[in-house]
Amino acid sequence: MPASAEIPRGSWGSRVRRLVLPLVSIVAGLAVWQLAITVFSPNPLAVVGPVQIARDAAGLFGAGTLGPDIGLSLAQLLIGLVVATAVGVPAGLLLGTSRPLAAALGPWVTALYTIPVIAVAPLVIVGLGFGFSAKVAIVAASGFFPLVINTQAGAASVVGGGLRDVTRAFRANAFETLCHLTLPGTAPHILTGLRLAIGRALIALVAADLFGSTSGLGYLIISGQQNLKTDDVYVGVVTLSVIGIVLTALVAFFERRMNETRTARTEQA
Amino acid sequence: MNTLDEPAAAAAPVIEVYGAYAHYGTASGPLPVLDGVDLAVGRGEVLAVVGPSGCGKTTLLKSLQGLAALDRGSVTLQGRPPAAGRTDTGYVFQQPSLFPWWSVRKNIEFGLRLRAHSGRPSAARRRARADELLELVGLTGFHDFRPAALSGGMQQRVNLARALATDPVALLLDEPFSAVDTLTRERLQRVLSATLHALGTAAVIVTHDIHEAVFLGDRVAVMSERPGRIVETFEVEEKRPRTEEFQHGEYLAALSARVYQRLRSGDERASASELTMNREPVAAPSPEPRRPLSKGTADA
Repeated sequence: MPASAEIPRGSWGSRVRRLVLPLVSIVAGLAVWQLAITVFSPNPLAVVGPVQIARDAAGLFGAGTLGPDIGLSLAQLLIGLVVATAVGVPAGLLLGTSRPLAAALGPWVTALYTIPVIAVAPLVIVGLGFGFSAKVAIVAASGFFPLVINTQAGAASVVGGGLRDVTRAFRANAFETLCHLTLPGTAPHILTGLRLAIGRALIALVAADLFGSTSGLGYLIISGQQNLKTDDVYVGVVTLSVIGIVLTALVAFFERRMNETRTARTEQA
Repeated sequence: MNTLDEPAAAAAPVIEVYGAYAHYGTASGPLPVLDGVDLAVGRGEVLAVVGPSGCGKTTLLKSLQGLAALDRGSVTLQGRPPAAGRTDTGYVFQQPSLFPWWSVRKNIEFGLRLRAHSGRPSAARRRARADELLELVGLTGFHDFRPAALSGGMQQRVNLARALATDPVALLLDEPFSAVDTLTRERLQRVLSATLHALGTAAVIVTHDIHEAVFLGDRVAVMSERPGRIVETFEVEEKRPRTEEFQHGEYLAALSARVYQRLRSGDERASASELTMNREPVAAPSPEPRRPLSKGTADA
Protein backbone atom coordinates (compact mmCIF):
# COMPACT_ATOMS: atom_id res chain seq x y z
CA MET A 1 0.00 0.00 0.00
CA PRO A 2 1.40 3.40 -0.81
CA ALA A 3 2.48 5.00 2.44
CA SER A 4 1.62 8.66 2.34
CA ALA A 5 4.02 11.07 3.92
CA GLU A 6 3.37 12.11 7.49
CA ILE A 7 2.26 15.72 7.62
CA PRO A 8 4.26 17.47 10.35
CA ARG A 9 1.90 19.10 12.79
CA GLY A 10 2.94 21.61 15.44
CA SER A 11 6.60 20.89 14.87
CA TRP A 12 9.14 22.97 16.74
CA GLY A 13 9.89 25.17 13.81
CA SER A 14 6.28 26.09 13.23
CA ARG A 15 5.62 26.65 16.92
CA VAL A 16 8.57 29.02 17.16
CA ARG A 17 7.27 30.86 14.14
CA ARG A 18 3.80 31.07 15.51
CA LEU A 19 4.35 32.00 19.13
CA VAL A 20 7.90 33.12 19.78
CA LEU A 21 8.49 35.34 16.78
CA PRO A 22 5.43 37.56 17.32
CA LEU A 23 6.33 38.00 21.00
CA VAL A 24 9.94 38.87 20.21
CA SER A 25 8.74 41.29 17.58
CA ILE A 26 6.35 43.05 19.98
CA VAL A 27 8.89 43.29 22.81
CA ALA A 28 11.56 44.58 20.43
CA GLY A 29 9.15 47.13 18.97
CA LEU A 30 8.22 48.41 22.42
CA ALA A 31 11.91 48.67 23.37
CA VAL A 32 12.72 50.68 20.25
CA TRP A 33 9.69 52.91 20.91
CA GLN A 34 10.77 53.55 24.51
CA LEU A 35 14.36 54.17 23.44
CA ALA A 36 13.26 56.68 20.81
CA ILE A 37 11.17 58.55 23.43
CA THR A 38 14.16 58.71 25.79
CA VAL A 39 16.60 59.83 23.10
CA PHE A 40 14.45 62.34 21.20
CA SER A 41 12.06 63.37 24.00
CA PRO A 42 9.21 64.46 21.69
CA ASN A 43 6.24 66.58 22.74
CA PRO A 44 4.44 64.45 25.38
CA LEU A 45 1.11 65.76 24.10
CA ALA A 46 1.77 63.93 20.83
CA VAL A 47 3.73 60.83 21.71
CA VAL A 48 4.30 58.98 24.94
CA GLY A 49 6.37 55.87 25.56
CA PRO A 50 5.26 52.40 26.58
CA VAL A 51 6.48 52.89 30.15
CA GLN A 52 4.35 56.01 30.55
CA ILE A 53 1.36 54.22 28.99
CA ALA A 54 1.74 51.32 31.38
CA ARG A 55 1.99 53.70 34.33
CA ASP A 56 -1.16 55.55 33.25
CA ALA A 57 -2.98 52.26 32.63
CA ALA A 58 -2.10 51.10 36.12
CA GLY A 59 -3.38 54.40 37.52
CA LEU A 60 -6.66 54.18 35.61
CA PHE A 61 -7.04 50.60 36.65
CA GLY A 62 -6.39 51.49 40.28
CA ALA A 63 -8.94 54.31 40.09
CA GLY A 64 -11.46 51.70 39.02
CA THR A 65 -12.31 53.15 35.60
CA LEU A 66 -10.22 51.11 33.14
CA GLY A 67 -11.67 47.76 34.19
CA PRO A 68 -15.30 48.74 33.58
CA ASP A 69 -14.31 50.55 30.36
CA ILE A 70 -12.73 47.36 29.04
CA GLY A 71 -15.67 45.29 30.23
CA LEU A 72 -18.21 47.51 28.55
CA SER A 73 -16.32 47.72 25.27
CA LEU A 74 -15.66 43.97 25.22
CA ALA A 75 -19.33 43.28 25.88
CA GLN A 76 -20.41 45.60 23.06
CA LEU A 77 -17.80 44.12 20.75
CA LEU A 78 -18.61 40.50 21.45
CA ILE A 79 -22.37 40.90 21.35
CA GLY A 80 -22.03 42.91 18.16
CA LEU A 81 -19.88 40.21 16.59
CA VAL A 82 -22.30 37.48 17.66
CA VAL A 83 -25.18 39.41 16.07
CA ALA A 84 -23.08 40.04 12.94
CA THR A 85 -22.32 36.31 12.68
CA ALA A 86 -25.88 35.24 13.42
CA VAL A 87 -27.18 37.47 10.63
CA GLY A 88 -24.20 37.55 8.29
CA VAL A 89 -23.59 33.81 7.94
CA PRO A 90 -27.16 32.85 7.00
CA ALA A 91 -27.34 35.87 4.70
CA GLY A 92 -24.05 34.86 3.08
CA LEU A 93 -25.25 31.27 2.68
CA LEU A 94 -28.45 32.47 1.03
CA LEU A 95 -26.61 34.81 -1.32
CA GLY A 96 -23.97 32.19 -2.09
CA THR A 97 -26.48 29.49 -2.95
CA SER A 98 -29.06 31.55 -4.84
CA ARG A 99 -27.89 33.33 -7.95
CA PRO A 100 -31.04 35.42 -8.38
CA LEU A 101 -30.75 36.59 -4.79
CA ALA A 102 -27.06 37.38 -5.25
CA ALA A 103 -27.83 39.33 -8.41
CA ALA A 104 -30.68 41.24 -6.78
CA LEU A 105 -28.99 42.04 -3.49
CA GLY A 106 -25.35 42.23 -4.58
CA PRO A 107 -25.44 46.00 -5.31
CA TRP A 108 -27.01 46.63 -1.90
CA VAL A 109 -24.26 44.73 -0.13
CA THR A 110 -21.58 46.62 -2.04
CA ALA A 111 -23.24 49.98 -1.49
CA LEU A 112 -23.77 49.46 2.23
CA TYR A 113 -20.30 47.97 2.67
CA THR A 114 -18.65 51.12 1.41
CA ILE A 115 -20.52 53.46 3.77
CA PRO A 116 -18.04 54.83 6.33
CA VAL A 117 -19.28 53.86 9.76
CA ILE A 118 -18.44 57.31 11.09
CA ALA A 119 -20.96 58.84 8.68
CA VAL A 120 -23.91 56.79 9.82
CA ALA A 121 -23.06 56.22 13.49
CA PRO A 122 -24.80 59.45 14.60
CA LEU A 123 -27.91 58.44 12.68
CA VAL A 124 -28.00 55.06 14.39
CA ILE A 125 -27.63 56.81 17.73
CA VAL A 126 -30.47 59.15 16.88
CA GLY A 127 -32.53 56.10 16.11
CA LEU A 128 -31.54 53.86 19.00
CA GLY A 129 -30.46 56.34 21.66
CA PHE A 130 -27.11 56.81 23.38
CA GLY A 131 -27.15 53.47 25.08
CA PHE A 132 -25.69 50.03 24.78
CA SER A 133 -27.89 48.79 21.97
CA ALA A 134 -26.89 51.58 19.58
CA LYS A 135 -23.22 50.70 20.08
CA VAL A 136 -23.92 47.03 19.55
CA ALA A 137 -25.89 47.82 16.40
CA ILE A 138 -23.02 49.86 14.96
CA VAL A 139 -20.48 47.14 15.77
CA ALA A 140 -22.75 44.45 14.34
CA ALA A 141 -23.39 46.38 11.13
CA SER A 142 -19.65 46.84 10.58
CA GLY A 143 -18.82 43.23 11.29
CA PHE A 144 -21.70 42.00 9.15
CA PHE A 145 -20.15 42.84 5.78
CA PRO A 146 -16.87 40.91 5.91
CA LEU A 147 -18.87 37.96 7.19
CA VAL A 148 -21.53 38.13 4.53
CA ILE A 149 -19.06 38.67 1.70
CA ASN A 150 -16.74 35.85 2.73
CA THR A 151 -19.55 33.43 3.49
CA GLN A 152 -21.16 34.18 0.16
CA ALA A 153 -17.93 33.62 -1.76
CA GLY A 154 -17.26 30.38 0.12
CA ALA A 155 -20.76 29.02 -0.29
CA ALA A 156 -20.83 29.88 -3.99
CA SER A 157 -17.57 28.03 -4.60
CA VAL A 158 -18.76 24.98 -2.66
CA VAL A 159 -22.14 24.84 -4.34
CA GLY A 160 -20.59 25.48 -7.76
CA GLY A 161 -18.03 22.70 -7.20
CA GLY A 162 -18.15 19.04 -8.06
CA LEU A 163 -19.38 17.95 -4.65
CA ARG A 164 -22.79 19.48 -5.33
CA ASP A 165 -23.24 16.82 -7.98
CA VAL A 166 -22.51 14.19 -5.35
CA THR A 167 -25.22 15.43 -3.00
CA ARG A 168 -27.60 15.61 -5.93
CA ALA A 169 -26.70 12.13 -7.08
CA PHE A 170 -27.37 10.87 -3.57
CA ARG A 171 -30.61 12.85 -3.58
CA ALA A 172 -29.81 14.80 -0.45
CA ASN A 173 -32.55 17.31 0.37
CA ALA A 174 -31.88 21.01 0.84
CA PHE A 175 -31.32 20.71 4.58
CA GLU A 176 -28.96 17.75 4.22
CA THR A 177 -27.03 19.56 1.51
CA LEU A 178 -26.67 22.52 3.85
CA CYS A 179 -25.49 20.39 6.79
CA HIS A 180 -23.24 17.95 4.95
CA LEU A 181 -21.87 20.13 2.17
CA THR A 182 -22.47 23.87 2.27
CA LEU A 183 -21.74 24.53 5.95
CA PRO A 184 -18.64 22.37 6.35
CA GLY A 185 -17.36 23.57 3.00
CA THR A 186 -17.93 27.21 3.86
CA ALA A 187 -16.64 27.02 7.45
CA PRO A 188 -13.07 28.15 6.66
CA HIS A 189 -14.43 31.15 4.74
CA ILE A 190 -16.71 32.02 7.65
CA LEU A 191 -13.74 32.06 10.03
CA THR A 192 -11.80 34.28 7.64
CA GLY A 193 -14.79 36.61 7.50
CA LEU A 194 -14.96 36.67 11.28
CA ARG A 195 -11.27 37.51 11.53
CA LEU A 196 -11.75 40.47 9.20
CA ALA A 197 -14.94 41.46 11.02
CA ILE A 198 -13.05 41.83 14.30
CA GLY A 199 -10.86 44.58 12.89
CA ARG A 200 -13.77 46.50 11.44
CA ALA A 201 -15.82 46.05 14.58
CA LEU A 202 -13.06 47.59 16.73
CA ILE A 203 -12.95 50.66 14.51
CA ALA A 204 -16.72 50.90 14.63
CA LEU A 205 -16.68 50.66 18.40
CA VAL A 206 -14.53 53.77 18.75
CA ALA A 207 -16.55 55.57 16.10
CA ALA A 208 -19.72 54.77 18.01
CA ASP A 209 -18.20 56.09 21.23
CA LEU A 210 -17.48 59.42 19.50
CA PHE A 211 -21.10 60.36 19.84
CA GLY A 212 -22.32 60.89 23.34
CA SER A 213 -20.89 58.07 25.38
CA THR A 214 -19.93 58.22 29.02
CA SER A 215 -17.80 55.11 29.33
CA GLY A 216 -15.99 52.51 27.29
CA LEU A 217 -12.57 52.48 25.64
CA GLY A 218 -13.71 54.81 22.87
CA TYR A 219 -14.88 57.26 25.49
CA LEU A 220 -11.49 56.99 27.23
CA ILE A 221 -9.75 57.89 23.96
CA ILE A 222 -12.10 60.74 23.09
CA SER A 223 -12.14 62.30 26.53
CA GLY A 224 -8.36 61.97 26.60
CA GLN A 225 -8.18 63.93 23.36
CA GLN A 226 -10.52 66.61 24.64
CA ASN A 227 -8.76 66.98 27.98
CA LEU A 228 -5.23 66.83 26.54
CA LYS A 229 -4.57 63.61 28.44
CA THR A 230 -2.51 61.94 25.74
CA ASP A 231 -1.62 59.09 28.10
CA ASP A 232 -5.30 58.10 28.25
CA VAL A 233 -5.58 58.16 24.46
CA TYR A 234 -2.69 55.74 24.23
CA VAL A 235 -4.04 53.49 26.96
CA GLY A 236 -7.34 53.24 25.06
CA VAL A 237 -5.67 52.62 21.72
CA VAL A 238 -3.25 50.03 23.07
CA THR A 239 -6.00 48.21 24.97
CA LEU A 240 -8.10 48.03 21.81
CA SER A 241 -5.09 46.71 19.92
CA VAL A 242 -4.55 44.03 22.54
CA ILE A 243 -8.21 43.02 22.34
CA GLY A 244 -7.90 42.89 18.56
CA ILE A 245 -4.76 40.78 18.70
CA VAL A 246 -6.24 38.34 21.20
CA LEU A 247 -9.56 37.90 19.38
CA THR A 248 -7.88 37.59 16.00
CA ALA A 249 -5.41 35.05 17.37
CA LEU A 250 -8.32 33.09 18.80
CA VAL A 251 -10.09 32.92 15.45
CA ALA A 252 -6.82 32.23 13.65
CA PHE A 253 -6.28 29.34 16.07
CA PHE A 254 -9.60 27.77 15.04
CA GLU A 255 -8.87 28.41 11.38
CA ARG A 256 -5.55 26.63 11.73
CA ARG A 257 -7.08 23.78 13.69
CA MET A 258 -9.67 23.31 10.97
CA ASN A 259 -7.08 23.31 8.22
CA GLU A 260 -4.91 20.90 10.15
CA THR A 261 -7.72 18.44 10.79
CA ARG A 262 -8.76 18.59 7.17
CA THR A 263 -5.32 17.97 5.79
CA ALA A 264 -4.40 15.44 8.46
CA ARG A 265 -3.81 11.92 7.31
CA THR A 266 -6.39 10.34 9.56
CA GLU A 267 -9.31 11.49 11.59
CA GLN A 268 -7.64 10.71 14.88
CA ALA A 269 -4.36 12.39 14.07
CA MET B 1 -27.93 -7.86 -1.58
CA ASN B 2 -30.07 -8.08 -4.66
CA THR B 3 -31.93 -11.27 -4.82
CA LEU B 4 -32.79 -13.19 -7.93
CA ASP B 5 -35.58 -15.17 -6.35
CA GLU B 6 -38.42 -13.87 -8.52
CA PRO B 7 -38.12 -15.02 -12.11
CA ALA B 8 -40.33 -12.19 -13.32
CA ALA B 9 -38.18 -9.61 -11.60
CA ALA B 10 -35.06 -11.23 -12.97
CA ALA B 11 -36.38 -10.98 -16.49
CA ALA B 12 -37.52 -7.37 -16.22
CA PRO B 13 -34.83 -4.84 -17.03
CA VAL B 14 -33.48 -2.76 -14.18
CA ILE B 15 -32.86 0.23 -16.40
CA GLU B 16 -34.77 1.07 -19.54
CA VAL B 17 -34.29 4.03 -21.84
CA TYR B 18 -36.61 4.71 -24.74
CA GLY B 19 -35.94 7.28 -27.42
CA ALA B 20 -33.76 9.61 -25.38
CA TYR B 21 -33.19 13.00 -26.97
CA ALA B 22 -31.23 15.76 -25.25
CA HIS B 23 -29.35 18.92 -26.14
CA TYR B 24 -26.77 21.30 -24.72
CA GLY B 25 -27.78 24.91 -24.48
CA THR B 26 -25.02 26.93 -26.15
CA ALA B 27 -24.57 30.57 -27.06
CA SER B 28 -25.34 29.76 -30.69
CA GLY B 29 -28.47 27.80 -29.88
CA PRO B 30 -29.27 24.27 -28.81
CA LEU B 31 -26.72 21.62 -29.72
CA PRO B 32 -28.23 18.13 -29.88
CA VAL B 33 -26.29 15.54 -27.85
CA LEU B 34 -28.55 12.51 -27.69
CA ASP B 35 -30.35 11.46 -30.80
CA GLY B 36 -32.76 8.73 -29.84
CA VAL B 37 -30.94 6.39 -27.51
CA ASP B 38 -32.62 3.14 -26.50
CA LEU B 39 -31.14 0.74 -24.03
CA ALA B 40 -32.05 -1.82 -21.45
CA VAL B 41 -29.97 -3.31 -18.67
CA GLY B 42 -31.04 -6.52 -17.02
CA ARG B 43 -30.71 -7.42 -13.39
CA GLY B 44 -27.06 -7.92 -12.52
CA GLU B 45 -25.98 -7.10 -16.06
CA VAL B 46 -23.10 -4.79 -16.93
CA LEU B 47 -23.49 -2.58 -19.97
CA ALA B 48 -20.43 -0.68 -21.12
CA VAL B 49 -21.01 2.36 -23.33
CA VAL B 50 -18.15 3.56 -25.50
CA GLY B 51 -18.16 6.53 -27.77
CA PRO B 52 -16.09 9.46 -28.97
CA SER B 53 -15.61 12.47 -26.70
CA GLY B 54 -18.65 14.69 -26.51
CA CYS B 55 -21.04 12.09 -27.92
CA GLY B 56 -23.35 12.48 -24.96
CA LYS B 57 -22.23 9.48 -22.89
CA THR B 58 -22.14 11.47 -19.68
CA THR B 59 -25.45 13.17 -20.47
CA LEU B 60 -26.99 9.74 -20.99
CA LEU B 61 -25.62 8.49 -17.68
CA LYS B 62 -26.70 11.62 -15.84
CA SER B 63 -30.21 11.28 -17.21
CA LEU B 64 -30.32 7.80 -15.70
CA GLN B 65 -29.60 9.31 -12.29
CA GLY B 66 -32.00 12.18 -12.85
CA LEU B 67 -29.10 14.65 -12.95
CA ALA B 68 -29.76 15.69 -16.54
CA ALA B 69 -33.06 16.35 -18.22
CA LEU B 70 -34.07 14.77 -21.49
CA ASP B 71 -35.94 16.67 -24.20
CA ARG B 72 -37.89 13.58 -25.07
CA GLY B 73 -37.88 9.94 -24.26
CA SER B 74 -38.21 8.07 -21.04
CA VAL B 75 -35.95 6.59 -18.42
CA THR B 76 -37.20 4.04 -15.96
CA LEU B 77 -35.46 2.35 -13.06
CA GLN B 78 -37.23 -0.86 -12.17
CA GLY B 79 -40.25 0.40 -14.02
CA ARG B 80 -40.45 3.86 -12.44
CA PRO B 81 -38.88 7.20 -13.39
CA PRO B 82 -35.74 8.28 -11.49
CA ALA B 83 -37.24 10.68 -8.97
CA ALA B 84 -36.44 12.13 -5.60
CA GLY B 85 -36.09 9.55 -2.91
CA ARG B 86 -34.87 6.76 -5.19
CA THR B 87 -31.81 4.93 -3.98
CA ASP B 88 -31.75 2.12 -6.49
CA THR B 89 -28.84 3.55 -8.43
CA GLY B 90 -25.41 4.56 -7.18
CA TYR B 91 -23.33 7.04 -9.15
CA VAL B 92 -19.55 7.02 -9.47
CA PHE B 93 -18.09 10.24 -10.78
CA GLN B 94 -15.17 10.64 -13.12
CA GLN B 95 -13.19 12.64 -10.59
CA PRO B 96 -12.70 11.29 -7.09
CA SER B 97 -15.31 13.44 -5.41
CA LEU B 98 -15.06 12.65 -1.73
CA PHE B 99 -15.91 15.09 1.03
CA PRO B 100 -12.47 16.28 2.16
CA TRP B 101 -13.58 17.02 5.73
CA TRP B 102 -14.70 13.46 6.41
CA SER B 103 -12.83 10.25 6.97
CA VAL B 104 -13.06 7.47 4.43
CA ARG B 105 -15.64 5.69 6.57
CA LYS B 106 -17.88 8.73 6.93
CA ASN B 107 -17.67 9.30 3.21
CA ILE B 108 -18.85 5.77 2.55
CA GLU B 109 -21.65 6.18 5.07
CA PHE B 110 -22.90 9.34 3.35
CA GLY B 111 -25.81 7.82 1.48
CA LEU B 112 -26.90 5.84 4.52
CA ARG B 113 -27.24 9.00 6.59
CA LEU B 114 -29.65 10.69 4.20
CA ARG B 115 -33.42 10.72 4.39
CA ALA B 116 -33.57 9.47 0.83
CA HIS B 117 -32.32 6.16 2.14
CA SER B 118 -35.41 4.59 3.56
CA GLY B 119 -33.59 2.35 5.97
CA ARG B 120 -31.38 4.98 7.61
CA PRO B 121 -29.56 2.40 9.66
CA SER B 122 -28.05 3.01 13.09
CA ALA B 123 -24.53 4.32 13.51
CA ALA B 124 -23.27 0.84 14.31
CA ARG B 125 -24.95 -0.66 11.24
CA ARG B 126 -23.56 2.10 9.01
CA ARG B 127 -20.12 1.52 10.38
CA ALA B 128 -20.33 -2.20 9.82
CA ARG B 129 -21.56 -1.62 6.26
CA ALA B 130 -18.72 0.80 5.54
CA ASP B 131 -16.12 -1.63 6.85
CA GLU B 132 -17.64 -4.45 4.82
CA LEU B 133 -17.39 -2.36 1.66
CA LEU B 134 -13.86 -1.26 2.47
CA GLU B 135 -12.89 -4.89 2.61
CA LEU B 136 -14.63 -5.54 -0.69
CA VAL B 137 -12.68 -2.79 -2.47
CA GLY B 138 -9.45 -3.77 -0.75
CA LEU B 139 -9.02 -0.85 1.60
CA THR B 140 -9.41 -2.54 4.99
CA GLY B 141 -7.73 -0.47 7.68
CA PHE B 142 -8.04 2.84 5.86
CA HIS B 143 -11.36 3.81 7.47
CA ASP B 144 -9.97 6.72 9.48
CA PHE B 145 -7.92 8.18 6.64
CA ARG B 146 -8.88 11.45 5.05
CA PRO B 147 -9.32 11.51 1.28
CA ALA B 148 -6.35 13.86 0.89
CA ALA B 149 -4.06 11.19 2.31
CA LEU B 150 -5.11 8.64 -0.32
CA SER B 151 -3.85 8.21 -3.86
CA GLY B 152 -6.21 8.83 -6.76
CA GLY B 153 -6.80 5.13 -7.23
CA MET B 154 -7.57 4.60 -3.56
CA GLN B 155 -9.96 7.55 -3.59
CA GLN B 156 -11.76 6.01 -6.55
CA ARG B 157 -12.13 2.76 -4.57
CA VAL B 158 -13.73 4.76 -1.78
CA ASN B 159 -16.02 6.40 -4.34
CA LEU B 160 -17.04 2.96 -5.51
CA ALA B 161 -17.69 1.81 -1.94
CA ARG B 162 -19.72 4.95 -1.25
CA ALA B 163 -21.91 4.37 -4.31
CA LEU B 164 -22.48 0.76 -3.22
CA ALA B 165 -23.27 1.53 0.41
CA THR B 166 -26.99 2.04 -0.11
CA ASP B 167 -27.15 -1.33 -1.85
CA PRO B 168 -28.31 -0.07 -5.25
CA VAL B 169 -29.59 -2.48 -7.88
CA ALA B 170 -27.51 -0.67 -10.45
CA LEU B 171 -24.34 1.36 -10.46
CA LEU B 172 -23.74 4.18 -12.93
CA LEU B 173 -20.07 4.85 -13.58
CA ASP B 174 -18.79 7.83 -15.55
CA GLU B 175 -15.27 7.09 -16.80
CA PRO B 176 -14.41 6.06 -13.27
CA PHE B 177 -10.76 5.19 -13.86
CA SER B 178 -9.76 7.73 -16.46
CA ALA B 179 -7.73 9.78 -13.99
CA VAL B 180 -5.44 6.97 -12.78
CA ASP B 181 -2.36 5.35 -14.26
CA THR B 182 -2.60 2.24 -16.43
CA LEU B 183 -1.55 -0.34 -13.85
CA THR B 184 -3.87 1.08 -11.22
CA ARG B 185 -6.64 1.30 -13.78
CA GLU B 186 -6.36 -2.38 -14.66
CA ARG B 187 -6.30 -3.33 -10.99
CA LEU B 188 -9.35 -1.17 -10.29
CA GLN B 189 -11.16 -2.72 -13.24
CA ARG B 190 -10.63 -6.14 -11.67
CA VAL B 191 -11.78 -4.83 -8.30
CA LEU B 192 -14.91 -3.39 -9.91
CA SER B 193 -15.63 -6.55 -11.86
CA ALA B 194 -15.27 -8.71 -8.77
CA THR B 195 -17.31 -6.33 -6.63
CA LEU B 196 -20.22 -6.12 -9.07
CA HIS B 197 -20.17 -9.88 -9.39
CA ALA B 198 -20.07 -10.42 -5.63
CA LEU B 199 -23.02 -8.10 -5.04
CA GLY B 200 -25.01 -9.00 -8.15
CA THR B 201 -25.24 -5.31 -8.97
CA ALA B 202 -26.10 -4.21 -12.48
CA ALA B 203 -24.04 -1.39 -13.98
CA VAL B 204 -23.84 1.07 -16.81
CA ILE B 205 -20.25 2.12 -17.30
CA VAL B 206 -19.45 4.94 -19.65
CA THR B 207 -15.89 5.01 -20.93
CA HIS B 208 -13.73 5.96 -23.86
CA ASP B 209 -11.38 3.09 -23.06
CA ILE B 210 -12.38 0.20 -25.33
CA HIS B 211 -10.41 -2.42 -23.41
CA GLU B 212 -12.07 -1.29 -20.22
CA ALA B 213 -15.47 -1.55 -21.86
CA VAL B 214 -14.83 -5.08 -23.11
CA PHE B 215 -13.24 -6.18 -19.86
CA LEU B 216 -16.11 -4.95 -17.71
CA GLY B 217 -19.16 -5.28 -19.91
CA ASP B 218 -21.49 -8.16 -20.57
CA ARG B 219 -22.38 -6.04 -23.56
CA VAL B 220 -20.58 -3.12 -25.14
CA ALA B 221 -22.73 -0.44 -26.75
CA VAL B 222 -20.99 1.76 -29.30
CA MET B 223 -22.21 5.32 -29.60
CA SER B 224 -21.89 7.53 -32.64
CA GLU B 225 -20.42 11.00 -32.78
CA ARG B 226 -22.57 13.75 -31.30
CA PRO B 227 -25.53 13.70 -31.42
CA GLY B 228 -25.07 10.26 -29.97
CA ARG B 229 -27.02 7.16 -30.84
CA ILE B 230 -26.19 3.57 -30.11
CA VAL B 231 -24.98 2.23 -33.45
CA GLU B 232 -24.10 -1.27 -32.41
CA THR B 233 -24.01 -3.51 -29.39
CA PHE B 234 -21.43 -6.24 -28.93
CA GLU B 235 -21.90 -9.26 -26.74
CA VAL B 236 -18.90 -10.21 -24.57
CA GLU B 237 -18.87 -13.96 -24.22
CA GLU B 238 -16.97 -14.37 -21.00
CA LYS B 239 -18.24 -15.20 -17.55
CA ARG B 240 -17.66 -12.79 -14.71
CA PRO B 241 -15.74 -12.15 -12.54
CA ARG B 242 -13.04 -11.72 -15.11
CA THR B 243 -9.42 -12.45 -14.54
CA GLU B 244 -6.15 -10.80 -15.32
CA GLU B 245 -5.61 -13.46 -18.01
CA PHE B 246 -8.80 -12.37 -19.72
CA GLN B 247 -7.74 -8.76 -19.34
CA HIS B 248 -4.60 -9.45 -21.40
CA GLY B 249 -5.93 -12.30 -23.47
CA GLU B 250 -6.55 -12.66 -27.18
CA TYR B 251 -10.33 -12.65 -26.99
CA LEU B 252 -10.40 -9.25 -25.35
CA ALA B 253 -7.86 -7.90 -27.82
CA ALA B 254 -9.79 -9.22 -30.81
CA LEU B 255 -13.16 -7.98 -29.63
CA SER B 256 -11.63 -4.63 -28.70
CA ALA B 257 -10.30 -4.36 -32.24
CA ARG B 258 -13.77 -4.95 -33.62
CA VAL B 259 -15.30 -2.40 -31.28
CA TYR B 260 -12.56 0.00 -32.31
CA GLN B 261 -13.35 -0.52 -35.99
CA ARG B 262 -17.02 0.11 -35.33
CA LEU B 263 -16.20 3.23 -33.35
CA ARG B 264 -13.97 4.52 -36.15
CA SER B 265 -16.45 3.85 -38.90
CA GLY B 266 -18.82 5.86 -36.75
CA ASP B 267 -22.36 6.42 -37.72
CA GLU B 268 -22.16 5.98 -41.44
CA ARG B 269 -25.75 6.57 -42.27
CA ALA B 270 -25.01 6.23 -45.98
CA SER B 271 -23.80 2.67 -45.70
CA ALA B 272 -26.83 1.70 -43.72
CA SER B 273 -27.00 -1.75 -45.23
CA GLU B 274 -24.56 -3.10 -42.70
CA LEU B 275 -26.29 -1.28 -39.90
CA THR B 276 -29.77 -2.39 -40.72
CA MET B 277 -28.73 -5.98 -40.49
CA ASN B 278 -27.86 -5.44 -36.87
CA ARG B 279 -30.19 -2.85 -35.58
CA GLU B 280 -33.42 -1.21 -36.41
CA PRO B 281 -33.13 1.26 -39.25
CA VAL B 282 -32.42 4.82 -38.32
CA ALA B 283 -35.83 6.32 -38.55
CA ALA B 284 -37.20 9.73 -37.90
CA PRO B 285 -38.01 10.05 -34.20
CA SER B 286 -41.33 8.38 -33.73
CA PRO B 287 -43.83 9.69 -31.22
CA GLU B 288 -44.25 6.15 -29.97
CA PRO B 289 -41.37 4.94 -27.85
CA ARG B 290 -39.38 2.34 -29.67
CA ARG B 291 -38.43 -0.94 -28.17
CA PRO B 292 -35.02 -0.89 -26.59
CA LEU B 293 -32.27 -3.02 -28.04
CA SER B 294 -32.72 -6.46 -26.71
CA LYS B 295 -29.75 -8.44 -25.55
CA GLY B 296 -27.46 -9.37 -28.36
CA THR B 297 -29.39 -7.67 -31.11
CA ALA B 298 -26.25 -6.74 -32.90
CA ASP B 299 -23.30 -8.77 -33.94
CA ALA B 300 -24.54 -12.17 -32.98
